[in-house]
Amino acid sequence: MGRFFTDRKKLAVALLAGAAIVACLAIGVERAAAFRGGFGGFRGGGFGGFRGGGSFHPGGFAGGGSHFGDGGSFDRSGDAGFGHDGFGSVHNASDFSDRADSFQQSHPAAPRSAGEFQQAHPEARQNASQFEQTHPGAQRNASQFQQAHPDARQNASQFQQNRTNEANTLQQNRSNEANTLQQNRYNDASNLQVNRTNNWNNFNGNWGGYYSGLGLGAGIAIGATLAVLPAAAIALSVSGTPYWYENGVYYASQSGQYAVVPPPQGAVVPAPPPYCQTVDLGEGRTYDCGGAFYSSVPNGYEVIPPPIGVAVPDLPNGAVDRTVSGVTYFTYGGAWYQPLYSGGGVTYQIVAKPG
Amino acid sequence: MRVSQRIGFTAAIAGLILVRPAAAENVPAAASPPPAPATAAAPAVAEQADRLLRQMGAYIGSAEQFTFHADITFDHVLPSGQKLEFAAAEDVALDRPGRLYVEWSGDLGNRQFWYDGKSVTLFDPATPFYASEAAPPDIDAMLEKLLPQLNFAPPLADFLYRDPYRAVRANVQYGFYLGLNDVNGKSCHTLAFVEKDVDWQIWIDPGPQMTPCKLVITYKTHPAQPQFSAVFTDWDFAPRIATPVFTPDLPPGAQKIPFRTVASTRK
Repeated sequence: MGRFFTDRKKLAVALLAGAAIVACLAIGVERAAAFRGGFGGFRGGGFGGFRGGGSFHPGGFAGGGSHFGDGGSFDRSGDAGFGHDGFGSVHNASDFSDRADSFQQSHPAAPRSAGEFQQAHPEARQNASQFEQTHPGAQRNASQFQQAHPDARQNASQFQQNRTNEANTLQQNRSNEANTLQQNRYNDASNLQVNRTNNWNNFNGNWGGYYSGLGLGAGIAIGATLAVLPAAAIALSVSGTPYWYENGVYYASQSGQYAVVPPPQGAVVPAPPPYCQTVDLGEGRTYDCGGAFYSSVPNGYEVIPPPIGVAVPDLPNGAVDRTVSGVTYFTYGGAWYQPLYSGGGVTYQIVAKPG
Repeated sequence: MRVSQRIGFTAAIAGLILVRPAAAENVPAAASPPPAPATAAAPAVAEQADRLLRQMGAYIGSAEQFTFHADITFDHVLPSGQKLEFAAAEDVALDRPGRLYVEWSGDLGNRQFWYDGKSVTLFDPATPFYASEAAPPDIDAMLEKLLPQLNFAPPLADFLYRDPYRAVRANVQYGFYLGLNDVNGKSCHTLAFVEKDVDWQIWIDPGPQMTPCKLVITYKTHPAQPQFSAVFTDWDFAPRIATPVFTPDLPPGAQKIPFRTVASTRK
């Protein structure tokens, strides 16, 4: 069976070579050199003609790391890859052009077209055909290798056996890990659920300000009271009221104890909560930390009102749906989120309180 | 064809050089590299590539009905620049002039898209939400006029036009033929095209049904050059499509929300 497969491969290579020759004849000598470079590349494993030493990735394009993700156009966390920005369409691909232009402006050295590239790298095509000429033995070498290393196949079956054993062990390990993870997740979820239920019982309808899902994430529910502050908690003063802050959680003095409270608007903390995502409002940096919003300020991170106009791909945990005048909204932490179909997927935009 | 492209086309014929006029103006004459060696004039798109593309377009564009399946992979780029590949499957049912259904099932989510000649409806089954909008009476107008306003298009929409050749050919700067190559065991004509923003390759069944075997698009404007790849199967030009296929099939309690384009501001 294995031998049959090998023979078939050889036959396929021969056919490919034949096809290459036919193609070359069909398109004339000028193009042929370039094409044969491509085929030679595949046979020789060097990809000579088409890659030409990274020639299709000139400095300008490859060096754009810092610009990466600026537009978020390929950060498809929200749109499932479905049809946004001309994705999957040749015809609509010009939708990318805005970004292309801005990229071009910031990278003036990047070739604008295949033609410019060709002009700038006249050697590329030549290299391709030179590769053919300097590596006529590429194909022959492959079969010589087979002859010179008859033990290769034997080793391969030994490897196969080893791999099978390793795979079985790995599978067992993974299984165990998965079970443990599953159990941990289940426990976490139960705790969160209990905390949330408590919140609702204690505070239902009384939340005028903001609170952070992080209070839950840290295992401490808003409304929980502690006799002693965490050692790392720092003291803050917001509009004259003392608060303490530690790792995304805010505490206020209450009847001789410390109660976990929603993040107070205007509070400035030295470090943001641990689970934040950046939102881009065009001015400064704003962070969405589980539905509580922070803005970067000179001396740290300030709790701000939910910014109207911000669109996020998912809702904070615990958002509640409300229908106002037939329109669906979600509320959380004083913000109103409206679900919309934007760019082929559902997104949630923070809007002014309706009605 | 836009004027700049026409000029580019002419320049290509004249000197085998593809330079947009704006780019040419930026290069002082004295600093110009020596002209390319004079060779026989070659068209910017090889005749064979153009002909095969046209034949494919004519074949599927002239069909009144068809269904096909596509197995898709697409890149998702992390902010770090790392490319991740995900997969999806797309099923399409088309009935000209005015009915279309597209179902997308992917690693990053699913979508259903209905068009019945009166309205389009888009639904993400992971949510209770759908959006719907009045639409022109035929597929071409719907694709050309409405969907750009709504800022999305079903992937592979290029092949749903009456004239798919026109749809894909419009912005091509350079194209060539690569011979017959394998797509999942089938030998298909391979064509490669260069545009300003994308490079793409298409594999076309040599016949008698000249359908696309495969499409690969490389998005050059993105530094990570992400790719979209679709392998087509199950082309059926005499399908028996039940009419309800084109009618939105939404779960009870699904809520209608608006189409509105907003830039997702979270990164």
